[in-house]
Amino acid sequence: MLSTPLSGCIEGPWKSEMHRIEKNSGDDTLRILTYDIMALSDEMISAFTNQTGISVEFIRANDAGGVLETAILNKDRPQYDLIIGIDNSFLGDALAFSLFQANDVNVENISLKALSSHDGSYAVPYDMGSICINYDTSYVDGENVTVPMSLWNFTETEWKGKVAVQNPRTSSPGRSFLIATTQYFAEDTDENTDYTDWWAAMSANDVIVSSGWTEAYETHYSGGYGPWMDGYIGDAQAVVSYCHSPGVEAWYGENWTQSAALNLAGASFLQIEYAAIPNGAEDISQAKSFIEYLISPEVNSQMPTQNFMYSVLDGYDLPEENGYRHHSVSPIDTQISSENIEAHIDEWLNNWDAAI
Amino acid sequence: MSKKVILEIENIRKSYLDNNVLNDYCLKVDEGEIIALLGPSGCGKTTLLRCLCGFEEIDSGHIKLTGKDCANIPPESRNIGMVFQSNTLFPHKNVQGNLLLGISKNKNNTTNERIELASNILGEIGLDGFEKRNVASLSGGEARRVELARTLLSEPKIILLDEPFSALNKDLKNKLIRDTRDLLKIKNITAILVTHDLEEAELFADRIVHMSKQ
Amino acid sequence: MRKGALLLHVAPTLLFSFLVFFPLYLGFTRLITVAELSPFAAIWQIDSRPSGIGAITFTFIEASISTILTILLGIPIAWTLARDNWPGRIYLRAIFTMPFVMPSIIAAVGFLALIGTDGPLYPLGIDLRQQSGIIGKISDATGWENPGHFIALIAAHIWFNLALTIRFLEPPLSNLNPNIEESIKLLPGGNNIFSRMKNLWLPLLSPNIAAASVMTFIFSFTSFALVRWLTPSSFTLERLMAEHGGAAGIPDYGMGDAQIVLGSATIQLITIMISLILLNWLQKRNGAAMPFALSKGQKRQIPYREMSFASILKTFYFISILIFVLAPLIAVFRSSFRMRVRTGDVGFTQQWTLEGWSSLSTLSWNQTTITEALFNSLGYAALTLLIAVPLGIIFANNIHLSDEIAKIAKTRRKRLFWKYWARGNDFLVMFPLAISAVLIGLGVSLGLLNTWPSLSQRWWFPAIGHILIATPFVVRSILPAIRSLNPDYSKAAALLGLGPIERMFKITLPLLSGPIVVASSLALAISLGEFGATWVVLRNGASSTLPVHIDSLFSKPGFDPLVTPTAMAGASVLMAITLILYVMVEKYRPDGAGGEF
Ligand SMILES: Nc1ncnc2c1ncn2[C@@H]1O[C@H](COP(=O)(O)OP(=O)(O)OP(=O)(O)O)[C@@H](O)[C@H]1O
Ligand SMILES: [Mg+2]
Repeated sequence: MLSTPLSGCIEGPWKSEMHRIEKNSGDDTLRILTYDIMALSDEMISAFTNQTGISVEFIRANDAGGVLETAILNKDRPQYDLIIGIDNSFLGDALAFSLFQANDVNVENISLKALSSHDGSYAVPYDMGSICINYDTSYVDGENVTVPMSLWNFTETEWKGKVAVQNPRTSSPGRSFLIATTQYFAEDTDENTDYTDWWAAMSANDVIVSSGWTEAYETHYSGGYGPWMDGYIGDAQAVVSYCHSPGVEAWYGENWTQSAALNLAGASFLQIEYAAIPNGAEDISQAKSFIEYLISPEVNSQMPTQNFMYSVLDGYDLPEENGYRHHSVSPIDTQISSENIEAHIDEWLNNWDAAI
Repeated sequence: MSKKVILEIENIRKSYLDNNVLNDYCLKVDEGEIIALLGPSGCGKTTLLRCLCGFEEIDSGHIKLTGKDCANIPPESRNIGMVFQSNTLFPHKNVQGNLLLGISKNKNNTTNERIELASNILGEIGLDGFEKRNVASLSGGEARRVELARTLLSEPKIILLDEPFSALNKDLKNKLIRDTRDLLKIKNITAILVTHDLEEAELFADRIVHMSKQ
Repeated sequence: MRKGALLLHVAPTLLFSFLVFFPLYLGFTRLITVAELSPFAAIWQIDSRPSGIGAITFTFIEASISTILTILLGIPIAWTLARDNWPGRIYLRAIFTMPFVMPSIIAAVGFLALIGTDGPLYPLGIDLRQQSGIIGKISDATGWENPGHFIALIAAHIWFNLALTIRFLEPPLSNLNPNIEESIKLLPGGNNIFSRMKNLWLPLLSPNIAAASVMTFIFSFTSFALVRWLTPSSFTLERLMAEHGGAAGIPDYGMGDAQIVLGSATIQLITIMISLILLNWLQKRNGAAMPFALSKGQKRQIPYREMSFASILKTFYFISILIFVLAPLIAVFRSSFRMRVRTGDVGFTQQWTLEGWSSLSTLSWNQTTITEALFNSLGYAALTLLIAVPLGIIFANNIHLSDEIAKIAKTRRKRLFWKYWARGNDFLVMFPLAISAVLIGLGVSLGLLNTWPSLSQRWWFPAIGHILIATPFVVRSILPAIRSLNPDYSKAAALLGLGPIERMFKITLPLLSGPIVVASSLALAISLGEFGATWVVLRNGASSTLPVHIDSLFSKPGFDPLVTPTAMAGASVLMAITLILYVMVEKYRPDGAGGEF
């Protein structure tokens, strides 16, 4: 391997065909493209290998966006047989680029909610969670500051400079929340204003825009575990995160947290993450068996504790232990198809840029 | 006119670690007198000059300039000039720039006056037209003369010369020794010349002082 | 020249130019296609994007202030180290210049640990993160938001670059013939401190101050890891490029991102080019070298005196700098033993623990543990060593040879050709260092990866960036040594009948063994600590390196209290390896080597 490190730079696309043949000559390795958040435990992976005899190798991208970017770059000549971690805010793009092939995985155990964005024919959901605003209950004391009844409340002075959101261009929770706002303000009673007005008002109200979830939640937000982290600033008393983040806080905090999720109809976006087989994948059956393993009750029921997301299967909720379920909120999410997202996301992003 | 004593060196001692370079050394110099210090290499001639300038602290004894003990006077305020044994022309300035460093701005107001002074002294040391020359391009002898000129321009009361003539050929050396001596006499500057060449000492000095290894 | 020799002369230049310019060229053309804008039009797009607002101003202000303060704080250190005969002087210098080889991610998490609520400053009322304490008062009085973040960033830049000021300024100060300084004191043009400043010190030091300033400016200008962690709400152009670089290469998808990246890259390239040209001009203008003392005996060092006011002041200053240099490293190590634990009615407290260290090889993130990332890093480092060191030696040798040929060339044309060939090669190998890690990474990822995506699955792929960034350091440590080699050895060997290859292996290389150890250790340290290029390339790539993995661990949701101490333990390991390599560098550094790294 050491002898040819530089010659590789000049190898062209015409060579990749050869590599694929080399790669596949009789090995039982499943290559999976995925990203950081995917916290399949080592035990889960080795259990899969034990059951099927297929060993697993991961190719990593930085985040959900990175998975999509890598998939687009490697379109039609992928170096992997399975893609895990593209969510419904990116799924429309992926389908528009025809990245995935149809699969015949049986999805009848999967809940309708998990299939609400896409029916599973090209991409199979394996976990989900809603994204909404979390707030610090020690700030929202019910007297001086009350629990917001509408997103418009966040444009008032008591929230000036106290709300942290993620840049939708660099963060997928940020992107999901932007999508929720486009629908929320389209469906509300006021016909004169839309999401651009709200974002402009938020900007005027000194909303904090961070580049990723960690920075917003850990560094700016005062309601979570941030105060015990090195980089903590604590200037935000509300943050965009998962509606079950307070539950995760409680899970690790022995049923204690001062963070709560805002239960506001239509102001949340249900993020659904998918596993999909790319066009051009060689070993479809191996990929399929991994998807089936992923949505099997034994594995998928562990999503809340292993991956901190909801299971997509009917009848599996968050555990009661340590107040996980008690502190989590399941709001009425905004309804939007992935095609609709794909059709408008560029426009929304540009309008968001302009509003902020 | 009775001679005034300008410099008194009384029992000074100077040692580096266990090397006693100067041991109870004494010397008196009159105003306007030109002295040659003659001694073998390593006997402490340079060390003595450095003590006079104040670059070395003496271990004991006194150095008096016009009757005042100068232990607490820093080198720059002693009004002593020195031509060092090694080349100390500044390579980032040309000949003129080096000479201008020697001319006090207080006494010579305008820049033109100072440039004229520099050109005049170049003539006196036989280096007419050298104003713009790069100092790195000077020969050894030329460089010594420019240094000498620079020190003379600063008009010190006492001038210390650490073997400035040793690198020159004989004819040039004798001429320069005579010219320098004349200049010093005209300006009534006291001088101490360090050398280990007896002929040079006799040609230059009013008085020869011998130094020997301690 | 014989054919073999000619090949040895031309091949490395061609290879290196190809590795540097080809990806950049591909990257730029792709960005222009995706952005649908010219590079200059893209500059105006930066300010219209939320994360880009004020980024240009911030980058210039941050870099300028960092540079000025670094130089001002560094001059007294260089001055004292060069001129005072302190006990343990060489050890102090080694410690003061050590941060320069430290990985930037270590500096980032070290400063974070230092200024966080569990750090030593917080109880003193110096709260650089939040708007409370003294910093809060400053903020209230000036209306300046988060001054603490900016102060922390500047402090970290000073921490990093002090070494440059010391390394560049110490040699002219300590090698100056003391008679020069003494003679000017006796002349009217130097009889007070100001005139000595004007007539001696500034002309003597300004070329080196200029060099240190330009390098510090470029490094602060292209700061990424530190900006990412210490000033979360501010963007340098480097950070903009890195964080928007992922989608920027995809047509019909990443147009907005491509515009930001293209604009930032354009400004950055122009600024760096102008800085380098300025530096060249300044150094030429003040080209005359001061006469240096010939032997050690001639150097007169001021003896250390215990009770003088000046030495008390110096001691105090040195102790402060010593604490400043060591504190972030100690903070990293300490934090690896601290974990938040749930206590009482509300909240958590930080408690001592060994769990961070015991999870080093078990806590897996992104299917990689810290030990796995460490082994990946060691692999890249070994590859970098194997390629960058021989390449750097050949480059240094070629540059030296060309200089020598230019000296003896018969015609003016030949002389000029060889002179410019030497200068051109010198510039070429330094280029990757100047244009910043992220730009190199973007060249590799946007240029090469977007053209040949399958490359991303080659495990050695990220090492290309490491090799490009490490080679300048190799050349800088070998070139002075080759220049000072006595050519007589080689001639004598030729007379003994040894051929050129034998001469190389039997005479030249053994004589260069010290500098080669220095170069190898530096190459290893640079590769192990490399952050920006790898971060960008690994976005869609094979195996994570330790610095990038530490960064991911810090960006991972930290609900699990174990994450931070484990990441800090990983950082401590990286720090320890770098320290060992640095000791090697210091031990084998040739005497009097300065002005180089
Ligand atoms: N800084 C110093 N540290 C230690 N020893 C010194 C130092 N300077 C001079 N010496 C020693 O003091 C002695 C006298 O030196 P000095 O330079 O005064 O001799 P010199 O008479 O000027 O000789 P030369 O004619 O060769 O110039 C020598 O033995 C020298 O080695
Ligand atoms: Mg002498």
